[in-house]
Amino acid sequence: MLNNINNRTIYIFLAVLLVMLVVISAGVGAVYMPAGEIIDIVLNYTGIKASAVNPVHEGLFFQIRLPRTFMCFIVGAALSVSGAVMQSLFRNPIVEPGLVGTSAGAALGASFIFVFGKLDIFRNMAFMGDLLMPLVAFAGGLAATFIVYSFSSSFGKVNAATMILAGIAVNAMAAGGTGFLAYIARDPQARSITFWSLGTFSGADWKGVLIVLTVSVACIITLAGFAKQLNAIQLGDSEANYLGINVERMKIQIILVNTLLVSVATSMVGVISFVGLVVPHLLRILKGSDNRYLITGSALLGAVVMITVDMLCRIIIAPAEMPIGIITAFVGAPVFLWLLYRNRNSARKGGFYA
Amino acid sequence: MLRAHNISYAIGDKILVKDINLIMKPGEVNVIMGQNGAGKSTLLKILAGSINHYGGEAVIKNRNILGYSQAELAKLRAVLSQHYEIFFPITVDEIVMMGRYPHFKSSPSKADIDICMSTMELMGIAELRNRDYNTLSGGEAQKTQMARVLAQIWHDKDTEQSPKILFLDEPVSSLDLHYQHHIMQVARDFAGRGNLVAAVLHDINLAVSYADRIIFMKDGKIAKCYGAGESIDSEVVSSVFDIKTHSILNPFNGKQLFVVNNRL
Repeated sequence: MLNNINNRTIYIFLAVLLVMLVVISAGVGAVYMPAGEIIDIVLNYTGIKASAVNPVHEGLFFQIRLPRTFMCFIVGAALSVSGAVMQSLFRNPIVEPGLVGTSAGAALGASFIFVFGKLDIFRNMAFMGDLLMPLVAFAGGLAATFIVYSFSSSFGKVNAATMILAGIAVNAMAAGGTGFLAYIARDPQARSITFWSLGTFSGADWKGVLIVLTVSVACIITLAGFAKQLNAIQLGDSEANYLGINVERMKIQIILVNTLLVSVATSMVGVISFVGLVVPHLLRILKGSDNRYLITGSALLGAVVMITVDMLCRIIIAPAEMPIGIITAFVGAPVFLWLLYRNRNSARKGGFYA
Repeated sequence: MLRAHNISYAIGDKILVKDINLIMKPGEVNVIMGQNGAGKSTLLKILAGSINHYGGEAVIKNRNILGYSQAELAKLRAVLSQHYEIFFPITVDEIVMMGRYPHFKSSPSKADIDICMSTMELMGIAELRNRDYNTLSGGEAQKTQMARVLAQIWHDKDTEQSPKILFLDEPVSSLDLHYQHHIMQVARDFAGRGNLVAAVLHDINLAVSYADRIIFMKDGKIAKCYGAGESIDSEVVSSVFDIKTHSILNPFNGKQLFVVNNRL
């Protein structure tokens, strides 16, 4: 562990990396735009310095590349913070929103609106406009999370193994539901639902970015406020109680906020697994598990990872692009196995990263 | 300061503690002893305010414990348990700093940091402060936890000097002799500064060495209570533990020393 490195140094390093990646990511894809051209487009648009820009590239940059990059940024941060918080809350290194069913439940809710949203009953809810889908996704995510939680907890203690198993069952159920919806949907819709179950950023627009941005910023700030309590709960529920924390109330508050965070992100980009699992562990290996550091760090590193992976998706089989869930699974699943291996050995060696 | 009045507690048909009446005063080390399942830890949990639905009342400073908020209790009493399991890497000083969590909002003050430093030095773990807790030996880990609970109720110069309560629930059961006496001596000194210590212990001789008052429990009830200086009847000890005991003179401190006839 890098105890001698200041947290702030890590944040600054990640932030600089992030800015660089945003510029590169906006340039990469079927049409390549070098950094110089991007700077010209931005300067021209803001009126700082007029220059001759390609109007097609300008449109591409502002309407497609930039919202997509920001969507990656926000969703990466959201999923990683969620993973860090869930791992701390359940005192379990192998949970994340994708594994315990939250994402799959949210995806089921979102695809439900995707397929049935034009029906009469939802006409009455038209006033909710673009918020209807995130809200139903939240309901789906919440239902899935509480099913898993109630199966895996007894007398206030959460059994890690039962939680993973209940997560498998709920994931299968939600995936079955989503598959069924895809089956009964008309063809073009069906195609996008399938694509969605592996996650994609290709549909990102400014409206979606705005919704996810608002919800994520609010949720992440709220969760950061729980950092101290999440640290204390590492001692055990009753010990946290002795430190003045109302553990039951805290758990419910955190689960609600966390599910909202994950569900809204999922309703926009589909299910993206393993990012929330891997990012917090990278940070822990770097510098311990203080949740004040983990939450801020996960937001930054999560954005870095998501933007990078999305760029890979656009490059690998250009001009087509790959669903992002394929790459996160290829990278994340081996990490998951490694964690299981570590977990198995940790008792013997003393300490999870020993 | 701490008073139990007719406390009874049952889960279903099983009676865990029954008709407990006792008074504990600041400056004293109170030790609760008895067989496994005699209700010692349950009584300690009730007095520490972590069990809610029971008969009778527990009173701290003339106020029912159930009337205190969690946050108020956290500044008034701390609890050290026998064993802690932590799944993620976390440094010793962060564990100790958790003791100050009830006292600050987002970041610790200079006073909080100073208090943690003092309790770590008191427990002799200041050099370990950047170590990962999970790499510590059992004794080092328990000393870290002791430093944490002390930090939680430590008097610094600026806060009010009212007495605090330290609960120890089998704090030394898995430790070697040296660590056992170290932790009990620190508890003894803490009581000496006007605070109250209530401990569940298994070793009668450790209890005799450090306690002002020893409370013997059997089948959920108080069997017998001895105050400071009172001689303990070995017949009582024998009946409480269901094993033949006899007391001799401890040449080091002139107190009683219990020996056991191991031919059951």
